[in-house]
Amino acid sequence: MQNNSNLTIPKIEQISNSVQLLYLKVRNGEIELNKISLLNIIEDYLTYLLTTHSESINLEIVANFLVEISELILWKSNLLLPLSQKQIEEEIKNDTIFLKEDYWIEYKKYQSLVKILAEKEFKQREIYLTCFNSLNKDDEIPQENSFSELIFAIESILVRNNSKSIIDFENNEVNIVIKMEEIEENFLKNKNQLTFSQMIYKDCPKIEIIIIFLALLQLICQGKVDYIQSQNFGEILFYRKEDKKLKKKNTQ
Amino acid sequence: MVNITCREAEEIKKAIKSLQEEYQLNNRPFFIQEVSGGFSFATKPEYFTWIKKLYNNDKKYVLSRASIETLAIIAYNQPVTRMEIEKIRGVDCSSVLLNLLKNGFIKVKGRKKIPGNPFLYRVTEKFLLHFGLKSVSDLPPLEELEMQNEKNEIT
Repeated sequence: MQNNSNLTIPKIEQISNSVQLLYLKVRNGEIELNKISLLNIIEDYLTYLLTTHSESINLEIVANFLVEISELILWKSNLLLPLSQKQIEEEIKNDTIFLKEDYWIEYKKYQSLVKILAEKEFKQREIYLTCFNSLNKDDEIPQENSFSELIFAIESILVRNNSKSIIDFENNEVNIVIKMEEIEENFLKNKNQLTFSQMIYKDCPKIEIIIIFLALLQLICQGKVDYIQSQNFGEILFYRKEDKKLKKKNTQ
Repeated sequence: MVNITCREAEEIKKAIKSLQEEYQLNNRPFFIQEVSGGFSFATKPEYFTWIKKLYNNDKKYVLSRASIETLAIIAYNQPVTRMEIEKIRGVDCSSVLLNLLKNGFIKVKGRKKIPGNPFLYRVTEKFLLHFGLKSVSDLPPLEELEMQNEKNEIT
């Protein structure tokens, strides 16, 4: 009994205020509605009303509670429904806004770097370099022959060659084996060195260019032929592999 | 230079430094610039107009903003694929890359082992020479640039 006398019964305004606070917090996204049992709140409120204010109730305060709690019920029940197309679009839009922010931060870094490089370019434009000697030339890794260079070469030759655009596979007499033999013979005639343009005669059909290219690839795979390209988009020089040392001596 | 002189690289560097100081003291029209991991004689910028007349034409490239942007991305992320560059730039880069390849600012250095095997690009010595850089590490770190951008936004 002593304990009961010490208990202070909260006023109805206080309870309504706490529900209002809950309503505001849910609306601002500070509290997850999923984690709150609205049924418990309503039951507690009803028992409180029946026990303390059974004779006279301030309808204005109770009405506020009813509006707020019904709004919360509506929101909670909406959470159970699948998202509408509009909501999905809105969520995607919000996500992309975040992504765009990250993207801009990343992009801005490079933008400021562009400024630095442009300044350096401007300064360097007024300076003429006479020669260039690297101290660590020996440490440099020799540049490997890239297959991409071969692809570039065949592509540019095919573009330049305006002969038959339709490839006649059926009536073609040349094959890779014959072409490989031909190339090897040509190597012997031309001091074991050949360029791509030397292998292709005037008005050479596209099919033959492709066969020459495939034959060269086959010879490279067999280890009989290798190639070098002195500069980007420059002429590719093919040579018999065993004569690499001789070629080096010649270039020196 | 190491092979020709049969001296240590450090010794050569010291000699070059003393030459640099000497040229500066005597107010010579040229100086030695450390560029692209090596050294080169370079003319002073104040003589640019005269040297330009001597050569009769200005052969130096002036890169577009798009080209510099692409080079910056490659320099920081090399080896890098076209798709990775495009992801940062947000636009198609194939023509810019082709021009940079043609002019020797970048080179193809293998293929990435992912579906489609795209080409991997790297910057060349010409890139370093063009911007007067000793090496790629001569560029400011990206974190530093980010901090600088944040500071600028606050102010």
